[in-house]
Amino acid sequence: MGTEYWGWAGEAHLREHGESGGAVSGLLASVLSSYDEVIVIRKTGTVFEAEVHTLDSPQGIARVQGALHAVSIELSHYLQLGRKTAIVLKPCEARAVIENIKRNHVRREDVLLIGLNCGGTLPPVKTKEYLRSQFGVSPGDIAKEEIAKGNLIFFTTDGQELSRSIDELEEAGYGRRESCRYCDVKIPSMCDIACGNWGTPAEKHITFLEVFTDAGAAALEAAVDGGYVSVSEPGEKLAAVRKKIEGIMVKMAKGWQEKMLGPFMAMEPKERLDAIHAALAPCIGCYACRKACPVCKCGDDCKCFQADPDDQLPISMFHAVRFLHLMESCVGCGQCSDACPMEIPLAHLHQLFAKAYEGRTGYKPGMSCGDIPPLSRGDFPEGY
Amino acid sequence: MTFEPKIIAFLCNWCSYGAADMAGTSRLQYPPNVRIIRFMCSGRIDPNFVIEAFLRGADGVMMTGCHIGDCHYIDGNYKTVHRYEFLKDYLDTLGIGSERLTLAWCSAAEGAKFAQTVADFTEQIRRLGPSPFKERGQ
Repeated sequence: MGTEYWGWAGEAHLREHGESGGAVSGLLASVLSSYDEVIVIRKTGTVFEAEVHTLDSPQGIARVQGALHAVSIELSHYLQLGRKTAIVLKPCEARAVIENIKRNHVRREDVLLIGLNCGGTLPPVKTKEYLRSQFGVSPGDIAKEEIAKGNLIFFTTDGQELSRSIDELEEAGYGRRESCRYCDVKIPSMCDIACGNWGTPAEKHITFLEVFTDAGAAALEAAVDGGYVSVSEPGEKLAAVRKKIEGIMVKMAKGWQEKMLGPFMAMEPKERLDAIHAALAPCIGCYACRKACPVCKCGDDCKCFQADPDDQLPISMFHAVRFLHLMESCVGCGQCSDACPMEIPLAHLHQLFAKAYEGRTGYKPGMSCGDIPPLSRGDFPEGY
Repeated sequence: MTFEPKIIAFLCNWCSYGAADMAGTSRLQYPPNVRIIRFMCSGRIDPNFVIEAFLRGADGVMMTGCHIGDCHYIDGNYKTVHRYEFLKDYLDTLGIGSERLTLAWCSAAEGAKFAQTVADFTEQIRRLGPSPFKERGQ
């Protein structure tokens, strides 16, 4: 567990602009001079459109978006070896960075990971469809979206507030992306600092900060000294509320795991093989899943590429090798499913392997740089 | 036609291949179902090789090497163990079943042990029947 604070931006306009007090904006303003790059996303149009942006001046911070739920960009792709980078990440992205650090694609001391608490993201196409069919609102008219207290809330440009319970949405096949529903990492404890609005007073603009590492503590101290961020002790009751929210969300995620992965695991082995085979049958060998994957960074020499995609094997070696590699590294971000033009539920299949392994050994990818990836282990094997 | 298991055996150059040699020179009988592929070290057995063997129609795969502590490259077979454990979970999840994969240590003097391991494993695969991949008509 880290050290907890309430924080808010020192400058009035950042505090006004920021989602909840702008502590993250203040932090970014503070680290701008001490890092080569500060990578963030910023809105380009509606809440469904954003771009990856390298921050170069304090003026740009006002356009930064912390979390856009309906934009699924994987920022961890943009880290480069040897560049000192500060980056704002969702838990799945942060876990992907940790997996890259384990495999020496990124150095831990080079990056400042500013994590955001995350209750899940939305699939853009389905959400737009939902807005049109259920609310009769054009997606272009949405000024802001928010997930709060189990509700998905849209604010239109003319001041309307449209709200629905997420449970209800998900029963109807809308709601969060499937991989987000069963993701059980809501507070990114592998980051230097985790930020969010859970556990803060409702009407005040305040961010809840949890600092996990020395680098995070140093960055926050520098920001406080420079007047970019102000901090105070968090209210004890509300800090407990934050833990409770996390607990509820993780419990819900476990329920979804049971519901979505359970039936697969309950199958007879041969049935399961048939199911996997049938799921992969539409594959056209475009490699989009691999390109989108934030942990797959072997490059063109990767073993999954050495196989002929048209090898006529019962399961193509490409997928068989990816199942193997991702069994020890899948962070469940769902990018592969999003990228697949044939809509193969790849994230599901990869999580099936990863969760089975996690269940037996307790090894969870992307949680700590100190964990050795199982396939890279060469230590003395006990019991042999 | 009765089912004859097709087994791929990965042998290391220094111990288990020596054991297979020993079994041969000692005129020991063992089932002809096993196809031997020699590696310099059991630590070279990439998990991909095991998977590809299954995908290409093997009913069972054997990984064999030197006893722990006897590896010609000191700790090559430590890696074999970790990969074997990992592969068992993989094969179980995929639906092939971990019982179709085995790991055995045979020193160059253990020709009889090698012959016995092959005989036992062939029997085990015969009981399990053809690999589920094979039944799909591949």
